[in-house]
Amino acid sequence: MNELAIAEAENTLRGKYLTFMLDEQCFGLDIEYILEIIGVQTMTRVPKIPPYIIGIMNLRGKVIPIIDMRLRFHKAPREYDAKTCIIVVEADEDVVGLVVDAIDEVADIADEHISAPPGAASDYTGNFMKGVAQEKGKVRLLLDCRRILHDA
Amino acid sequence: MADITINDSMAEMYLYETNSLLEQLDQILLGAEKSNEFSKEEIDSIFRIMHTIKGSSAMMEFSGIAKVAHKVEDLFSYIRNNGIDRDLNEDLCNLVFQANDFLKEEVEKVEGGEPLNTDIAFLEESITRFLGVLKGETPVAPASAPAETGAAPPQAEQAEQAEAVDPGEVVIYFDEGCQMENVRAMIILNKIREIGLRCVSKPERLDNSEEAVQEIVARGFRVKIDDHSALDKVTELLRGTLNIASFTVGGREYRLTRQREASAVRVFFEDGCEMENMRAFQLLSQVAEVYPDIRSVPAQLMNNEDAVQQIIHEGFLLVVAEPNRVGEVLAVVEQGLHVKSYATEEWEEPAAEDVDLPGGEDAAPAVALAKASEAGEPAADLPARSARPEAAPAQVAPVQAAPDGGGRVVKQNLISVSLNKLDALMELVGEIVITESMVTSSPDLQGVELENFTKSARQLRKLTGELQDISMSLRMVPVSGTFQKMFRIVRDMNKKLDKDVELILVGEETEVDKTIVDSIADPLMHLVRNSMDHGIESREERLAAGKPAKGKIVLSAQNSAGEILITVQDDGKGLDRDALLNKAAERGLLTKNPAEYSEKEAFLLLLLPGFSTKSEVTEFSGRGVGMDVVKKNIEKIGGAVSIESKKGLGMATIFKIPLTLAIIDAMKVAVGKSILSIPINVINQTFKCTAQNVIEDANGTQMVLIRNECYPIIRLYDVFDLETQVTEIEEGILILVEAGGSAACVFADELLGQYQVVVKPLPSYLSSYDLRDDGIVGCTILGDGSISLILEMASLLR
Repeated sequence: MNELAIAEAENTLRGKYLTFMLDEQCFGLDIEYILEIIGVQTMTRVPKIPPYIIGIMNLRGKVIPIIDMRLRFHKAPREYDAKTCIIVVEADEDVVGLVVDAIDEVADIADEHISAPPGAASDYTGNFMKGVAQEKGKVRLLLDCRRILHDA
Repeated sequence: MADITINDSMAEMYLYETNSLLEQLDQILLGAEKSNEFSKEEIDSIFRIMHTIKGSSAMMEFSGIAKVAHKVEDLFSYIRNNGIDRDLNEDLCNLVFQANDFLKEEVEKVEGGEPLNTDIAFLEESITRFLGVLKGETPVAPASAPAETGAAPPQAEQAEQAEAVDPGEVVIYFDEGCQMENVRAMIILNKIREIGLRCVSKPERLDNSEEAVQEIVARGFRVKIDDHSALDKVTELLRGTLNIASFTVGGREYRLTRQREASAVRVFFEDGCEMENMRAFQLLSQVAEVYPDIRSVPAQLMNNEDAVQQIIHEGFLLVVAEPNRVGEVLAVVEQGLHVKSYATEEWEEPAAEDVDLPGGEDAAPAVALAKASEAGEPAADLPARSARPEAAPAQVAPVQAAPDGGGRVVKQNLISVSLNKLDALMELVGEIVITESMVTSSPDLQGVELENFTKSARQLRKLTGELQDISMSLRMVPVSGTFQKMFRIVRDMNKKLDKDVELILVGEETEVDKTIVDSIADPLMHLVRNSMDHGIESREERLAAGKPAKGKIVLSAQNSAGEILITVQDDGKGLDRDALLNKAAERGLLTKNPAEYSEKEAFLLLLLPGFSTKSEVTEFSGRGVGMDVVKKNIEKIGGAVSIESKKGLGMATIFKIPLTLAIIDAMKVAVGKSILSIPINVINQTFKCTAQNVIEDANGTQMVLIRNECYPIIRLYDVFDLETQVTEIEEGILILVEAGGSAACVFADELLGQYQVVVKPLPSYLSSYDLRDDGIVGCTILGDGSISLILEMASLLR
């Protein structure tokens, strides 16, 4: 289990993003939302909720819902493997786990490298984007954590 | 929006305190109204309540609340000093109820973070006008009153006199025949000047003046003090001065009815503790260690059977010559063995005649602010010597004056704890209970003989059980608080509807989980209103039906086997099955032929949304919140509602609620890979069934026949969309469950056994999906760390 402790002092969080891979694309999440990263554990399916919420999980006595990001972004599901991780995020007092293909890195991205998301996104991910970071030829899509959790 | 953050602990404290004070006020008012009399204690309590609310509200800067509280405080301060005419009692009650309601509303707004009402002129004016009436002024001219009342309050404790009194004026009367009044007056004057106050006295010339003596004796020694804020100090000073019979500060009178400065501690020993004289002697010698000059009544303790009787009946009196050392004595008494109660009182040296020992009833020293006498000659009607403690000033505050007069001392042994902490504790204890069973029934231990381990494990199990019980009991509060609130509703509605209904409480001391107490308040209120409004007939109708004119609502709570039953019962007209069915048909709520409805089923129609038996909306009920809301609220806390009624005799609504929500007994069942938990209290039986016993109706609904009753089959894998190999009725197991008035057979793969589970709510993130309506109330963490969903049968059966 690759547990990363990322909770640093508040002011050092600005401009830092946790980047992860999903279906060959690189995404970034503002690091202030992230609590921890854990491996995939047993989950309990909950009926009658949207399919992208794949279940609930016991995180040290706390029950948290898990969202599969592939399903959230309307992408084809994939078998979980050794690299599959759950990013535990907290936004508006909700703690939620996000299943991603693999963790990339913690990147410093300066504001000047971030541009507004394209008006009409080519795919469903566009709904959750808050910016596009282009740096050294690398393109990373920065996501809005709140919208991932709360938008329909 | 007012800028109030309620998570602020100060605000929380304020709300808690103010709410409980207002509730207390309600109780007092109801009591006073019933007996049509305001007792001295009641007036004092109301005064104190208002005083506290005023103070804390002013601190929180809720000026509207503070002002109203202040007004009421003024009013009661006047009543305290001057009494109130019996005829005005009712008006006073109504007025204070009105003020109370206003305050409650405002406090509710504070709670909700809403802007507060600043327009309090109306209420202020009615209080002022009432005060005017009390003072015998013409009620039609309220304009003159505010000036007067407005002038008085710079000192909160300041009382108003019948005529306008200069708040800075101090009038002192000396003991009769104490001689040299002028010199004594001068000493006092000097002392006042010593504490840095400027003052003018009347008579001005004090030395060698026989006239001054005469005037002081006749009219008292008058001192005018400029700085009103320092009056407390002066009061303090005068209390400590010798030979003062009484004095008034700004119109409030204090009587010092002692001839000698002394205090006494009256001690009662536990009933039936035997050898009271020995115990008294022991206590006396303990006290003597810290205060050698102690004396006692009775003085002769050893070998004195009379002393035993006296101690039992009148208490054992410890006389402390120096009042400032009473504290030390009290400290010893408090630690004394077998001491049931103790209270301090003024002690006055017995003169030649026998001491008039007040009995136990009077022993609790009253909060001793003497009633102000009529202006004029206060000294004249002062008894030369009074042993009655009521007249004594509150120099040493009683530890607690018990209302039953027993003088029982209850030490402050309560603390208020935030519910969040208790929740956290409960959760933790739940984890421990589960972990304990994880450890002791670990598969690794299977087949291993471990004598010592087994012993310790057994001990651990016992302790965790106790821990669980205790932490659960922490959250238990009596339902009386919620029940008591209903008195007010009944009272108000009695007045409005001109009915005569009596509310009877049964089992109000029953304790239930705090969450439950909070959640039953609204449903109960609704039911009581319903009973008052629709249930109980008018006096004429009742008499015509051969019932007593006085209606009855019984509110009862009782414990039965891990559940609490709360019943609201009235002796009104009851439910009419046909009327209910007609109504339901009108609203299109019937699902089958009306003739097929049993009486019980017909009653349950009442709980459906959109059903109201009375077409017109009245002030009290029918405001859109119907019985369906009651039902929903009760189900939210895991309870069920049922209705019983006899036409013409009344109806009863029964809530059946689990005692606590945190830990329940549940049956674990497997469906495919999932493990689901069904609360054990809804399970009637479990059984295997063969395909022949299954009947299928026209809609394809499968049913099973048990003891001539047909039950629909609910297949869990189907309802919850789970994958399982077990779909044939023979392979799985059927569980007959009954909840919310209906029953069904639940089909699962297999039973995994009965366990205690800690109920955890589902993550708040999922709350928008209304999983409760789909039959899932929460989840629990199993021994292996995985999660099991807890099913709620009531909504699943629907």
